Amino acid sequence: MSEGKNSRDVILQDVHLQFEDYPVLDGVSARFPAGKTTIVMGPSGSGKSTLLKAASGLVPVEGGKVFMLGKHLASITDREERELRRRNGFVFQDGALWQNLTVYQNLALPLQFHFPGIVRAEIERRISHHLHGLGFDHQMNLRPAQISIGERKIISFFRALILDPELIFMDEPTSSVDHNTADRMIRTIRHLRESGKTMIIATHSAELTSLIADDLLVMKAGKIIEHGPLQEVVRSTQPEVTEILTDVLSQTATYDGDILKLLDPETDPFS
Amino acid sequence: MADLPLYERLGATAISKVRSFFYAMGFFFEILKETVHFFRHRSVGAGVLTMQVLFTGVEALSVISVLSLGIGAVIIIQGLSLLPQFGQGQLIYTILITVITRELGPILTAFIITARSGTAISTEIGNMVINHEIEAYIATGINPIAYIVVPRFIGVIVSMLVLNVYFNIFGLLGSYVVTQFFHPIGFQAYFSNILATLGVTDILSSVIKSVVFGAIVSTVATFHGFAVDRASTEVPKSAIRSVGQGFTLLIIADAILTLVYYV
Repeated sequence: MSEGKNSRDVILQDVHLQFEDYPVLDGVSARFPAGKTTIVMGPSGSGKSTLLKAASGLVPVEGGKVFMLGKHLASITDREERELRRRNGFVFQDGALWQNLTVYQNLALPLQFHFPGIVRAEIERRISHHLHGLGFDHQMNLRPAQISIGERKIISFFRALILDPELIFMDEPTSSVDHNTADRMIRTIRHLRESGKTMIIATHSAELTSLIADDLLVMKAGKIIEHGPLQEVVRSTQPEVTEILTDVLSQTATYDGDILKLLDPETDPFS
Repeated sequence: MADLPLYERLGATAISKVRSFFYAMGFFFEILKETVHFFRHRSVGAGVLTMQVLFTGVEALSVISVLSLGIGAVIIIQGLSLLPQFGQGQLIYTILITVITRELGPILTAFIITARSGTAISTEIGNMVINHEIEAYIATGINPIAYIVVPRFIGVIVSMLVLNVYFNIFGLLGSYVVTQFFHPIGFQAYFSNILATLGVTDILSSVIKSVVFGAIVSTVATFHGFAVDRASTEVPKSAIRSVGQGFTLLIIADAILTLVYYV
């Protein structure tokens, strides 16, 4: 499929994946445009995390094709994969920090691996660029088990950004973190969006979605039921889409009005 | 599968075993390929290798020392009480070299490393899989075989070699110490006899066994670590499987290598 090979978009074509006999991705086709931010929403177990992992090549698909940065993931060489990984980052839902390494080592390892011989001063410069003001100065030598879940999420978030990737996958980046830290992360994500990064983010956060989404993708039971520009999807007349978005958002937001207005950047829900 | 007739179940099991075998062989060749890369390129896994040698090679030294001292003592006690009855007292040195250097040194060291480091390796990797740490390595572009498996593969082989040397030293020293109680002999005379009996083939056999056993222990342990899929309850099961399968493969390999030595 030459279209996928010539594009910087992330493309999924009729992707199938099942765990045991349970279909997790059931004929999923989607195109995530380069330089745009796509938010993936859906109820728990709808396949959001698996979609992200399939799109990033972390989970090999059983059927269909996945293209990332112009490469068909099933037919790339080791060298191409390594280069591809350097150009993309993944924020895991549970942090997935390396438990036997310190906080500093977790952030430094990707740099040491991709830039052999990189000097410690450069590593520290890059780390402090990301973590400046977050109060991690005295925690750099701690292991992940010695810091809070929220702190692990932040380290995981910035670990994914340490190589300055052009494509970033995020699985619930702002969950389990306090309000101030979530604000900092959202500011960073907005900055990434302004600098033209391609981002695919699974989240239940109305705030994050309304602030950064270009496109919205809605999933249910391993299928995409709606995918398009944010405002079009929010105003969708499909009862299933409205129901899912309302359900998903009502789990995280406390708002009495039309909850879908929280997603619409053009309306002020509190006016 | 329980609903299938017996012959179909047997067939399915056989096919599954054959697939697992070829998968394991693929895993092993991937390790060999990445091991070549490890030596040819500057690798961030050097630190992991150092830690593995420290854990497997250095920290197991006390266990190996005590065990080999004891084994050496037992062999000399048995030998000195039996052999002179047949007028074959001089054979004690040949028996010491055969048993300690060629046989027990490599196999007992391998058993200890399997029980101690093999379980630790498969448990550690199994937990990494559960905690999505392996996915994080892949996402970052770090090949888990190159960064996690290869340093452990090399580390266990190096440790096997070093511990085997220690086993030999302490085993032969233990037998010397016990000799002093039964049949006092000078230090120089004892070790001259040992060195006169020790041939290049004995050393070669011991070294080859150490390398092969180290490769088996590390490959089996890492393979079972990665075989953990979802639940944390699979972690101890994989560790137990790695010990059972490790012991079996070690004994088979030992038998084959011993056979090759004598053929």
